[in-house]
Amino acid sequence: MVEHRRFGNLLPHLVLLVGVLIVAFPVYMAIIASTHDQAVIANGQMPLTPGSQAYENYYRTIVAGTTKTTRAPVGGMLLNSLIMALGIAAGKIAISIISAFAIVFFAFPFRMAAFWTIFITLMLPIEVRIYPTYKIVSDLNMLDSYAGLILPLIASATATLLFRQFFMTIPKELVEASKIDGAGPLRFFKDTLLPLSVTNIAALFVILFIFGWNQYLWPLLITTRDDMQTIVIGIKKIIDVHDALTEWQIAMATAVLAMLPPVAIVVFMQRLFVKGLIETEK
Amino acid sequence: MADVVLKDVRKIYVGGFEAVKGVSFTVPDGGFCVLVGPSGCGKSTLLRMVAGLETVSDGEIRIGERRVNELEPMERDIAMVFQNYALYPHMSVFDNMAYGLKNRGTPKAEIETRVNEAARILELGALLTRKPRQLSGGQRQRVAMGRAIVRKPAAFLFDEPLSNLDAKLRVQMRIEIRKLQRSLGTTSIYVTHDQLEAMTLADRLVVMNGGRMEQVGTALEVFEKPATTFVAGFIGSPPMNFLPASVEAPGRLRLAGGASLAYDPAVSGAPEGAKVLAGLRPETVAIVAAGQQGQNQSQSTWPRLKIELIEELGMGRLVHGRISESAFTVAQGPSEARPQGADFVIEVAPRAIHLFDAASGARL
Amino acid sequence: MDNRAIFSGKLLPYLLLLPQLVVSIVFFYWPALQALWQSFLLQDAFGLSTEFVWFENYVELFKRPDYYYAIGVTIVFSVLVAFLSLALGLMFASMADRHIRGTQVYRTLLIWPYAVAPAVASVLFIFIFQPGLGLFARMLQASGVDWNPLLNGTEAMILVVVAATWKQISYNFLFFLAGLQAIPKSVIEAAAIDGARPLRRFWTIVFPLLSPTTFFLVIVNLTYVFFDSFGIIDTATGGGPNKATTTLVYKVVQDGRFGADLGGSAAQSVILMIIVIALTAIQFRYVERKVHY
Repeated sequence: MVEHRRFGNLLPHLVLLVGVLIVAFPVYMAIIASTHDQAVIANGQMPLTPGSQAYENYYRTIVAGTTKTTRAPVGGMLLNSLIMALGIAAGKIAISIISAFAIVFFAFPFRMAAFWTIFITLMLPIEVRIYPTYKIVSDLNMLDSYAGLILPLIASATATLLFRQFFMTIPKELVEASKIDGAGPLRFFKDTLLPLSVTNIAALFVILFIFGWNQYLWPLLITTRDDMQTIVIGIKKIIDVHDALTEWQIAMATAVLAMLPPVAIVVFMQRLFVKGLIETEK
Repeated sequence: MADVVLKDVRKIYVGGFEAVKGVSFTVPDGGFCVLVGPSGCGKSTLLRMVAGLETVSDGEIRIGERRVNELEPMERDIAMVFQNYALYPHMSVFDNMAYGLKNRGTPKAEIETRVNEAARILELGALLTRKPRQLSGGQRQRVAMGRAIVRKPAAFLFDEPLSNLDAKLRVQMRIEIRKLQRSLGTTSIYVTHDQLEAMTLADRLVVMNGGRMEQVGTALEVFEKPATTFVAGFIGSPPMNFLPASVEAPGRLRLAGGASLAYDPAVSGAPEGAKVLAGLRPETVAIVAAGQQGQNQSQSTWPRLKIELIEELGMGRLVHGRISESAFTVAQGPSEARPQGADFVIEVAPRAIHLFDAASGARL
Repeated sequence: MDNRAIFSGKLLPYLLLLPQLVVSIVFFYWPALQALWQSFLLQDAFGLSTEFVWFENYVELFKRPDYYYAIGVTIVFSVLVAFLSLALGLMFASMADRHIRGTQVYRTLLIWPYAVAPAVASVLFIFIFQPGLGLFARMLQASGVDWNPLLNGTEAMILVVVAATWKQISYNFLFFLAGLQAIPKSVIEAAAIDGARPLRRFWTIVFPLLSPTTFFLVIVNLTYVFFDSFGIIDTATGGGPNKATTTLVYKVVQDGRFGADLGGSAAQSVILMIIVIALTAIQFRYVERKVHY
């Protein structure tokens, strides 16, 4: 803003503070709820300030499990979510970077065909091909397994596109210098390309980890065993008991735990996160 | 039409950095004033304060009879031409020029006449429907000026408008800007870091350095009587040479290496024994083979010049070398002979020597 | 495509491409083609025989009132969420762009909801709006509104719209902020000198220059609303009450779950595929267009 009125600077701050409050409010309520006991909440008398049950609630949530639903303690679910998210992020990056490498730096028959084959996978999110994919995973005996959780979700091409775009900005003089120095393609990849790609890889990793951690529909369908649940699914199971006997404080504690890792990553790796977001959507 | 008066204007940023340290000058109605100085000297900040894009920490700015310190940019009746033109990318050339008038509620018919007239003056008639990205650098520059003149403001402000153009275009546009300003008669303040641009455009020149005003005057005044070593070294190309010396007697200098020079006490006065810097412009110095000094031998043992490099310019040449420890450049015109041989001395008329205090840099 | 200094290799490129191609074929093309194939089939009630019926499934689909209803729900939901989250995102972004101190801090504080899973976001709001014990529910109750999203379709829609919008604001905020910061400051200053007050500047200069970003975000928001919101709806309302919050995506999953009409469910999938492809194609074609400067 160009104007220098004294009150002019107050307005943005006010509006932004309102925004921050709106955004923070639901989470604040959840945190508060996770520190009270069930009775207080069920009676509609939960105050706006924290209670004293934090330790008990979180202990039960993570370690003990509830009695209402035969559901594993959240600790196990956190582990499942972690494995799934890491697997998706690492898996997607791995297969994409070598594909992009092949497409950009080699000339071979069917190169464009391969590119388009991969490119088209951008088009359809998993929700649209859900049942046939389920059937295939089931036929391959991958239900209730980590492989089943991870593999179908690494099929889409966003990462490949990003790496391809980045690789195309590498000056060809670099490749020529490498060749003159006697490096073959794999050497070039390992010694030159990978080090240059580190920030892109990191940014993508952040985005993909969040994407993987927050998956809902797919894990819901293919995991039935309690010990294979992810934490995001776990929440649904808790509040599925659609009455006031739902243990809200456990549900909220679970929600807080479910949010923690991805939010922590966004906050502490903000620059990488923003870079990754902007790059993948262009 | 109005004059612009700056009185002791200061700019202090949050955190204490003082970008402009008390500058005062007046631009008379219809005058063309150039602010010149190296990067970071505060000239752009000063211009932006006149425009209202920066707040004034202290001092007063008047446009016409009005004090404008508290006024918003659009209330000051000024127009600005930016270094990167700042054209509205999504509007046609016509709309770019009409925008300011539209905002002020000017009736449509009048907008048309004024824009068309400006387009005629700047030869933009064929380009009125184009968008900025379809124009060349010079054309965009003219649209930026068109946008300014259409408003018929009290003052024009130019912020290094020619820096983004190639050298040939710069010379052309420089002439056009000056002619335009003369015909319109609008008070103008122009900021540049290029001393040649400053010299050729200015009625009044304000030389700035480190937030301070070093000198104000006409181009010729600044060139012939620079007030400080900074101004002397900044204005004029190639820059003035400086030789450390002391005043042996009125009219005579003893240089650091032992040679002596005669100077004219009427041009520069300095007390006996004072330590000074003698300023010699490269084009006022002649190179003579040692042993063949000219008739004016009285009172001087001409300084020896050790030549290191000669740059041939076609219409003359630059001779770079050293006198004692100091770097020294001589600019020779086309009629002077290229130095042949090994030993040389320099000759210079006493009137052409400027004396500056060695400690403060101020003119004596 | 380009003239990179190319490596020559007969086998290597294929090996490098193999993992992705295999995964794509097994988990993408094969299911997608299966869905397409199934949409042309009609299975009898016992799953014993199948019959190739061309487009009959599609025609049947468009004769069903619940399909039209789902289309209506989807449109209302998408428009509301897209509009609200874009408007709010833009507002916060233009405030944050004003060179006030603390822009970085505000940015951090406003973008983290992106990291929250839609399902989790939904649960947060379910809690706040839970009749009897949620804060907002109690407030509404106290001011005379009979609030119960489990019974009232409109209230259920409000709940999911709020949850979905909450999450999307941060994404839009981020992109709008980047778009605003890409506008050269001198253009804004020129407009100010040209007599445009802040509001007029916004509508005549800033907003038009922001249009590539806006367009891009509209497409992305629509895509998000269509698909990612499954988690929200499933946790919050289960598509109800009475299908009041059943969007097209939700319907595909639900109908397929109960397994009765494989052909119809597949047909729905294919229709959704066409919509996504169209949206993605528009996005890519538009992104190819040059920006203004």
